[in-house]
Amino acid sequence: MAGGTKEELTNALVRQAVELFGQERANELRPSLEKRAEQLWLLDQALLDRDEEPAVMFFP
Amino acid sequence: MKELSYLGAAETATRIRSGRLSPVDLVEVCLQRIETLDDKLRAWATVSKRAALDTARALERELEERGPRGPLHGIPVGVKDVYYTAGVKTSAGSKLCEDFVPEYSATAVRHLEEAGAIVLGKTACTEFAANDPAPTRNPWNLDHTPGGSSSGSAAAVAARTCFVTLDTQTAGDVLRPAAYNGVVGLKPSYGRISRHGTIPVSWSLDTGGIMARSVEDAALALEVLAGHDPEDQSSSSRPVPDYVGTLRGRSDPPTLGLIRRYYYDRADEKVREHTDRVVELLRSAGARIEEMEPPEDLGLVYAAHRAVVFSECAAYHQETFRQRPEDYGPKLRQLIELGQVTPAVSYIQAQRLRRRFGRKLRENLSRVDALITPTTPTTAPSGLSETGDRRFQLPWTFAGVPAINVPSGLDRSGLPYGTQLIGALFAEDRLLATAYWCEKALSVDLSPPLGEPSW
Repeated sequence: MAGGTKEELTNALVRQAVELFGQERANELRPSLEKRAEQLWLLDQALLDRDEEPAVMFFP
Repeated sequence: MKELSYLGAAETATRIRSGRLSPVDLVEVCLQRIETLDDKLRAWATVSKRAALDTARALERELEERGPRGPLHGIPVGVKDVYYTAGVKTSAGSKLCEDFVPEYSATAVRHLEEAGAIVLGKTACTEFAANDPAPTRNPWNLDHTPGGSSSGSAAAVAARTCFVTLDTQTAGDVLRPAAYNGVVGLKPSYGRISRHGTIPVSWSLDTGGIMARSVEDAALALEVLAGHDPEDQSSSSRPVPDYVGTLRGRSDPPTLGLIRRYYYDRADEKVREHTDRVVELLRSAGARIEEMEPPEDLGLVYAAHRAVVFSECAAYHQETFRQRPEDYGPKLRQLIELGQVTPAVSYIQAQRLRRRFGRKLRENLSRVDALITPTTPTTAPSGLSETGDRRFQLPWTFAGVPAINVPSGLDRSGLPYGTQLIGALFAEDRLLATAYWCEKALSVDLSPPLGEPSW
């Protein structure tokens, strides 16, 4: 899914929502899924350095 | 008697220690205010009237026999209803926890009690500290949201029904309600206050926080609450400075980094004008103001925060949600469902972006004492079905750095404005000293028009 266009991301989220919650609920969620896809797409565009590791928020 | 509830915690604690004020009288005043005001405010989820009075009597005796237990001896406080309190219902604003009575208290609650604070009860919050609103109303205008998730705490402190509250922030859960209600809201660094014994929203974001009537009171409470807890793996072992001493010891004007980009694009006109006035006032009082760019695209930071909070919240609720989906409110249900479909790769990318954001932010913060922005894009919006916009507060929770709301005025309709200051990681002492200086320079003292009772 990652690396797709906004539309591909939306379709992938909707497919998964149908599988998990059924068609009716997926339809209800559609506007929120589109918004989510937009945010995930934005995240995909972030040019992260290859060496950048995930944040570790648990301090020793 | 009315003046008792208008003093700050620091001044009140001094009067109690010197024997000029009885903790029992003080608790009675707070309980009377709750009884009179809370039917309309609904800031309190549970009030432990008998236990609070018993504790006050015991503390009065203890003071006579052995002296003060700690810096909050006899001070009435509230605890957000996500912190475990032994023997007292902890419902997190949810039907799922309506009968939950913990057997032990959260470490932070114990710290308050060990310092002599009197827990009056639990303050109302949004469902599981997410987005379905609490029943609380804004004391400045009952038809406007008090914000969330720490809705009850902000209203309780604003209405002078207690002096300090213990809270949590995952996005803007302390600073936004603090701004909407005209009180000080402090979110220290991630890991500064123990979360052992709290009901989580998102483990890697949840941060213990404080609401109070003044910066000094927030510093006093942080001194009691901060510190390492071996029971909480996110808890920091860094030493706890003398926060109150630091803020009293500083008198030179601070250097502030004003961030307009993103904030001025989204704030309404009156908030932009108000922030300009605040900045000019601080400048004329001697502060050095530098215009600064956000260290990262804050829209991207918002997207990353949502990926993290949705995923972690869905993981926490997975089992219960499968068994009792009908017992979740519509907003939390949707949040969990969106978390369930968030790809693991997006979650990891969000955490990688978080690391980069934190590093860039460190560079910005090394040049100033604090960043300065409006706390919210508008004053408290009308209506009670939403809790307001979290976008202005959320980036700093994501970075794990401390942030504070300083009340900075009222709009024409009588609703509070708040100004947000952001400090470097674990430099709460410097941030509090800066906020204290700004508070003095702004000289704003806000009390909501509640049709005041005579106590």
